[in-house]
Order: sequence, then structure tokens, then C-alpha cells
Amino acid sequence: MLLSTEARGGAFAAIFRRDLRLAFRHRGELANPLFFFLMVATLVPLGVSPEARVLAGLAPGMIWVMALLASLLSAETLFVSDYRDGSLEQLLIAPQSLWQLVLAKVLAHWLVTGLPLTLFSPLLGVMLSLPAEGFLPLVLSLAMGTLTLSMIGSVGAALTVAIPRGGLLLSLIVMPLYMPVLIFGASSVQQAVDGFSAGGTLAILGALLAFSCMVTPFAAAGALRVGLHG
Amino acid sequence: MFQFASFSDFITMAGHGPYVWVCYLVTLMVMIWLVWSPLLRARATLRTLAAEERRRLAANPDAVR
Amino acid sequence: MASFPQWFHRLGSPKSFYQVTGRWLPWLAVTSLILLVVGTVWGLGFAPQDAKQGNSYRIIYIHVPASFLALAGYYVMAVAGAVGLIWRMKLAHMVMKSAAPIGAALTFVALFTGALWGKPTWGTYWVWDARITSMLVLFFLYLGVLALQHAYTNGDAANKASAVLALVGTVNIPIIYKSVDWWYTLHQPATIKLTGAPSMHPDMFQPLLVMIVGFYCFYALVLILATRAEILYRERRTSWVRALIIRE
Repeated sequence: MLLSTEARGGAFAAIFRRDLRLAFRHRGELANPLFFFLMVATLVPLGVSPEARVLAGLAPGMIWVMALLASLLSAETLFVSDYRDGSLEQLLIAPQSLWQLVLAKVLAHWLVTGLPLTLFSPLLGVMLSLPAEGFLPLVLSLAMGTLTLSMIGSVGAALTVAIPRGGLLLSLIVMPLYMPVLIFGASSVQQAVDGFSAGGTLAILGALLAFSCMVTPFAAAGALRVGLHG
Repeated sequence: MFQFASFSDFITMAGHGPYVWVCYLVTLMVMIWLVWSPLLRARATLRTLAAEERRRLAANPDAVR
Repeated sequence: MASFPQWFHRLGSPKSFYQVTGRWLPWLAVTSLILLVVGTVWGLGFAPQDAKQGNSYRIIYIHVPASFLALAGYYVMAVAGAVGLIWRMKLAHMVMKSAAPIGAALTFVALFTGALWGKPTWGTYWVWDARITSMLVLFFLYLGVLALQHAYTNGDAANKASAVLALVGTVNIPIIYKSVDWWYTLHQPATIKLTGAPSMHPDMFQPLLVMIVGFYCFYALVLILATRAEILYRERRTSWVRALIIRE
């Protein structure tokens, strides 16, 4: 795998395109987090109540929790296949800064996991009787939130990449870090449903995303260098 | 001055006794464990080391101590 | 005159740490014991009853110090990890590894005593208020670091990975606390401070101070004990450790 910087956009674009191409080769697997998301939505009426009134009250938080769980499921796949075929080692010794390559991978990963979740969330809103005012904040908050979750997840994925059955450990270490995103994401939808403006909360979500963009690529790169020698 | 009329009053703490005493006892147990387990570990390390040393000397009596 | 870097690196030698702490340990142990016993007896038996909470408030003599140390202990762990990562100091990694279970245990004590304080005082063992929820998340952060440490078979990688995780957690703690706080005020417009301590009369406050200092001394004591055990294990192939067994 040559990281040619003569390619348009340099190494960042090369990794980005490569990851997207690899993801699309396994199109079937792409849909898994999405199916999970949809199926878990069915669990809520079955387990709690099918009444629209009850569902509407729960919907903002529940949809967000389910999106978080689906993100958690897919976080594991970020580095694992590259680790198994040895291309992760190649990334580590590449001349380009590791944090750029990590960022490229995370963005490509989000495009095929978090973004579909975000685009399908209105469907879940309908299934769970989310009031109309909630839909726009839901999509906006999930768009920013799932990207933040992917970035946070990349740090956990880097730390657990060489550990067999590291998926559960990944969930354990990443869950506390996910919570602020969940809090602000779900609250933004709830505020809109309750009649208030969600702008401030969405702005905070944006700030969390910006902060993650600055910090997580470096943390994940550092974690990869450490974690590869599990 | 002592806040309770008698020792049994001290134990019952006007109904709050179980809560207060369970707290203090559990905390005491945790603290004892926090002190005891490193001491145990240190002793085990040194004992294993001593046993290895004895085996080494038994196998090779001329070895340097 | 040894320059600062020399002194710093000599401080980082496991052997000198072991020897120096060996001399001071008995004093630290006695001090902690005295402070804790005095504080406990004072708080349990001699501090006045609270008008609203009766006797159940006496749990704060454990709950408050444990909560302080739960949080402080995380920072101790993270700073030790950072020092180990940046200056590659073996001792720092050993301190970090020792600090993790101690902090987790104290966080558990804080949560447990908080729950038992809540039942007689506010009628419920558990309430999702800002402080308790944040403490629970802190507990999860500790568990994550512990789990990660034990998952690695390579000791050196275990040191570094858990240090990275502890640092990431450190950055997150203020964010988590602030967001949980914000979330809670959103859902509890009546700002009843459910886990507030009773307004403290000096007679109640003084034993608390003694307990807080006592807990800090205790923390230092058990951290040093655990670090010494770790030193003995990791340095077991060195000559100075072997010299110790001859004296055993």
C-alpha cells in the first residue's frame, strides 16, 4: 500500500478513498449498524408501551441512546481489519503524521456508519411518535453527535486494537466519554419538543465536536503507537 | 460532650443506626483491605524470591550468593 | 550541587523511593490512624445531632472525605501516568498502577455511603442527581483504566495505554461534571440540593476537617504501600531486592 503524496490531496485523501472503497466492497456489513438501530427501535414499544403518548415522551432520549449503542458497535471495526492484515503497521511507519491518517480513517468510517444513522433517524422518529418539532434538532444533533462519537470511539478502538475480544473492553472505556454527547444531544431534541429553542444546546454539541476534532486524532495516534504492542 | 444517653442509644442512633453502622463497617473493611493486600503481595514476592534463591543454591552450591 | 534534572531522576529511582518511604512509613501510619480514630469517635459520638437529618448525617464523616479522595485520586493517577509517559519514569508508572484500585475503592465507598445516607434522609437509596451521577461516571472511568491495564499482557504497553486512557479521562472529567450538572438542572427546576450536607455548625465541621486530613494521610499511606509492593515485584531481579530477602 503506497502512500503516494503525489496523489491528489496527499496521504489524507488516499487513506480516505481507500477506506471508503474497502467499506463498499463489504456493502452487506455496512448495513448492520443500521439494522441494529431500526430493530432496537422496535424493542422499545414491545418492552415499554405502544402508546403514542408514552413513546413521544421517551423518543428523544431513546433514539439518541440507540444511536449511541449503534455507534459503539461499529467503533470496534475502525482499526481491526487493518490490524489483522498488517496495514496498520504500515500506517505507523509512514512518513505522514499519524494523526492525519487517523482523521482520514475516522471520517471515512463516519460516512458509512454515523451518517446513515443520522439520515435514518427521522424514520425512527416516526416509529416512536416523536413530535414534529423534534425532527430537525434530531437530525442536526445526530449529525454532529455521531461524528463526535466516532472520534471518541477511535481512541478506544486504538487502545484495544491488539486485545482479543476487545470489543467489550472498548465499550467499557468509551462509555463515560460518550455521556456528555448523549446529554446534550438528547436534550436538544427534548428542548425543541418542549417548545424551547434548541440552538444553544446544538451550539454546545458543535463545541464538543470541535474539541474532539482537535484532541482525538492525536490521542488516537498516540494510543495506536502504544496499543499495537498489546 | 457525648451525645447519647447510653451505649444502646449510641448503637440505635434514633433509628438511623443500621445505616450509619453499616457505612462505617464497610468503610473499615475496605480500608483494611487497602492496607493489607499490598503488604501481602510484598511478602509473597519476597517469599517466592527466597524460594528461588534456595533452589538455585541447592542446585549449584558453589554459586555466588 | 545536583542540578534539578539529576535530583528529579534520583527521586524517580524505585530503590531510593523504597528506602526513603521505609523510614517514614511508620510515622505516616500512626498519624493516619490517630486522625481517623479521633475523627470517627468525635463525629460519631460527640458532634451534635442535626436538626433535620438527625443522626444519619454522621455518614458524611466518611462520605465527604471519600468523595474528595475519589476525585483527587484520579488526578494523582493521571499525573503519574503523564510523568511516566513523558519522562519514561518507571516509578511513575508503578505509582499510577497502584493508584487505580485505591481510587476505585474510595469511589465505591463514596457511592455506597451516599446511598445509605440517602435512604433515611431523603427516602431513597439512589437518586440521579448531578453529584451522584458524576461520581458514578468517575467510578466507570476508574473501572475502564483497571480493565485496560489487565487486558494487556505486555507490561510496558499496559503502562502506556492506561496512562493514555487516564489522561483522556482527565480531560473529560470537567466536561462530564459540567454536562451532568447542566442536565440535572434541566430536569429539576426546583433546585432542591438533594445531596447537600446540612448547614454546618462548627461543632459538626471540626471532626469533618479531622477526617478529611486523616483520609488524605491514609490515601498517601496505602498508595505508598501499594507502590512499594509493585516496586518489589517489578525490580525483583535487581541486587538490592535480593539483598532484602536475605534479611527476611
